[in-house]
Amino acid sequence: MIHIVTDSTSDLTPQLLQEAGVEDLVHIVPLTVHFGDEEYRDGVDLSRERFYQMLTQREEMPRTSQPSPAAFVDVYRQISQPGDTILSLHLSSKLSGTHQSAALASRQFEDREIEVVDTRSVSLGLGLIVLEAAKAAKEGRGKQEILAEVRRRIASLRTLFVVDTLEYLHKNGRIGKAQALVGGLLNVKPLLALEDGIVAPVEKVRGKAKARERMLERLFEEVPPQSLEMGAVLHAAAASDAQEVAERLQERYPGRRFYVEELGPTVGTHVGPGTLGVVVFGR
Amino acid sequence: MKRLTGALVVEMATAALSYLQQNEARINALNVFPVPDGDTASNMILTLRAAIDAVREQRSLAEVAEAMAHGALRGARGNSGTILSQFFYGFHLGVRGLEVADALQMAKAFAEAAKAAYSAVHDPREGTILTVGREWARSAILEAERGSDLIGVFEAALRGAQAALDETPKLLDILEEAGVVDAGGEGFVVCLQGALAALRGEPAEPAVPLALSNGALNGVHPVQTAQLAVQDAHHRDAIDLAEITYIYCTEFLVQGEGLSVDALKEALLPLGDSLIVVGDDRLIKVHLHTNRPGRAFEIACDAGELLSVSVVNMKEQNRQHVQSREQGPGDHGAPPSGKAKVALVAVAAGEGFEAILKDQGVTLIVPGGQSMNPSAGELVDAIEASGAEHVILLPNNKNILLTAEQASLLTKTPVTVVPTTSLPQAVAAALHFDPELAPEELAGRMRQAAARVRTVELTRAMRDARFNGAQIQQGDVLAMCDGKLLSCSRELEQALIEAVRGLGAGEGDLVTLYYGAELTEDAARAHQELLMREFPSCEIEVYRGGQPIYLYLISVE
Repeated sequence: MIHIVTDSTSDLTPQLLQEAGVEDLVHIVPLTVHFGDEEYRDGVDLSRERFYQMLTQREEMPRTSQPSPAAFVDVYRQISQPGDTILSLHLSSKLSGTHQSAALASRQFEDREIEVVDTRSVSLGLGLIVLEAAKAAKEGRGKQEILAEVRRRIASLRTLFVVDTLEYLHKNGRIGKAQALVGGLLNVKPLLALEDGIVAPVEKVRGKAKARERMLERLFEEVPPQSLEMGAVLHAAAASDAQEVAERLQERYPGRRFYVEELGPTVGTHVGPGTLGVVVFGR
Repeated sequence: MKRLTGALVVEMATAALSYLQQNEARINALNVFPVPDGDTASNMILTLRAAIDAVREQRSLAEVAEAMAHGALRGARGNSGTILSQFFYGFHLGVRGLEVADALQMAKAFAEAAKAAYSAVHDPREGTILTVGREWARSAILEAERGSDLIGVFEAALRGAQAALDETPKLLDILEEAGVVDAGGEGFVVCLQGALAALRGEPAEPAVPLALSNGALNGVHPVQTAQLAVQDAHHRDAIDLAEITYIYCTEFLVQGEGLSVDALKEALLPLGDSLIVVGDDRLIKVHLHTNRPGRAFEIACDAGELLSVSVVNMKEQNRQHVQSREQGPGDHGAPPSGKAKVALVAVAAGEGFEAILKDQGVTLIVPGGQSMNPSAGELVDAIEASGAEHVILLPNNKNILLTAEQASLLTKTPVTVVPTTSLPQAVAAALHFDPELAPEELAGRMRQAAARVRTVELTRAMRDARFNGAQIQQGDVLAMCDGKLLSCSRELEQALIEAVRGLGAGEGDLVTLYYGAELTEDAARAHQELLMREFPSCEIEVYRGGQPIYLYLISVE
């Protein structure tokens, strides 16, 4: 049997899992969101709605922490039997120590095969990879085949996003190569990408509407219609903007599936409300 | 038979300068825009003075002409000054190798001068100084071929120039409407009148006494009028801090009725030095170095209303300047060791703009001063001080475009001029600054970015005027876009709304207001809110530009 494990940054909602028919196959290990002294397990103790409420109401910025190796050990042990295979797919190791916790945990098991994969992505970039892997596992495909599929998807993934302010990325230390854009007198809305698993600046744009436009323009430039397989529009407290973006994507890439989802608390903590992004898988 | 000698040319140029100075206010007022910006006569005076000051021990005509050409090219300010410097350059080419010149040689050199001026301008327009210069040279040649002597040729040339000048309103609609001749052309003719007087051996009126410069401002062009880039003097490196007696460079306009230049001068004289007072009974410009700017303002307030007030602490400015020179280009953000590949140099007026541009990676700012007219030499100094292998230059005013091109020719450092005509365009261009890119690609991106920005300038009319078919009253708020009057309103709020509307701001557009030195942040925020209500589908941002003269620079992208 092949089991699929991931973490809560995958932003996979129960609906998404049910729709794909893999809700029994995928196990999500939660990260933790800290508001001051309070701790919430992402997706377990804290819903998206509550999180964004607290984000705007609370003065202090929330922090996040990765699951411990022990948490992974528990999950691995619970979900599987000796002789089983587990594919543990996680967000970029450069964004979080989650991958490392999983890797450490996997070494504790000699009686089952545990493959830990750094997908170099996050949110539904990770989530869609997990879904496809789970569907393949359900169909009965073998471990090597599924892994090859996973690696192919990792290579073909593009992530572009715009944040309202760099403050969240900066204060949480995930700003990566966009460090140089921090501060500044102009109200610049940076267009960012995830490249090689870290945040990288693409372009400086002024004006929110313009930033969104540029994001779409660049995407259209990089991914011609025939090359796009599917994608997702992600947002943090910007649902109507996300809908508009999805419609633009639908126009440009007719017949392709675009999910629209709100970022979960863990990712939301790091980018802040108003964030808008697209992830697409090319061919 | 009189010959044209080096010494004679210097006398003629000096007389020309004197005539120009006496007519400065009048010619500046020919400016079709009722806006105190980029004054033609002031720029020509500074350029001419730079030419004269460049002559040291040169004797022969060729040597003197060459020295004057170099001085003029570097000292050129504004479009008119730059074109004038090209006249000098062409003239020098025409007399190369000559110890002295006869009438025909002189006429041919005039033709070279006119040719050089035409070739310097990208889209030469008839009805400007170019036309006057062309006719001047043509008349000279015709007369010389008839066998007239030096004075005869020059007189004919002047007549030809005058006739051409009188025709200029027929050639340019905006001149006709404003009821004026072209200011540059007029300045040129006035120069010729002075030169002729010297040629004839008549005593020219003595040059207007130059401002008593501080003994400290060594090797610096003495201040000519209130509207000069006095900042030029302030930024020179020879200033010794200890020697600045009067700290505050104070400039302002006084507006009223029945004003008296002499009375104001007398009242202000005891307050300090470098006093310049020019103007007429309705509008006077004052420039003064004093330790008590307040007293100067009080005196002015007794006479009329204050406009465009500026007070600069020269001691502090110099401290910073000396500091930054000691630290080298590294202080401005360029890498401290090794040559930067590309550096951005921009002309700016206003502390807010300076800060924003530096924040975007501009290495050096050339202060534009009240009238945004740095000399070609100042641009060259900044280009070379940047220490970069390649410089991208942002002129940020249409009156600096020619000067910028000229500067790029006067330095060995490769320079690409991105033809920005406003500071908001510079902001948009600088946003794309990426020191990793090759200069050509970077310049291309910046050009595109600047082209996407539409800018409007809001200012108060200095006087009643007729422009673009509109009747303007002094004090009206004018919205100017690309040299055209977009709207004229009595109130600033109305002007703002019409300006943004006139720029065609639509859904999702970004409107940026840069407020000038005369406005407070509170006032600007209130205007922002007003515009947010009027244009709910646009994003409205407000920043402090700190610019003189223009209440607002507004951009729409």
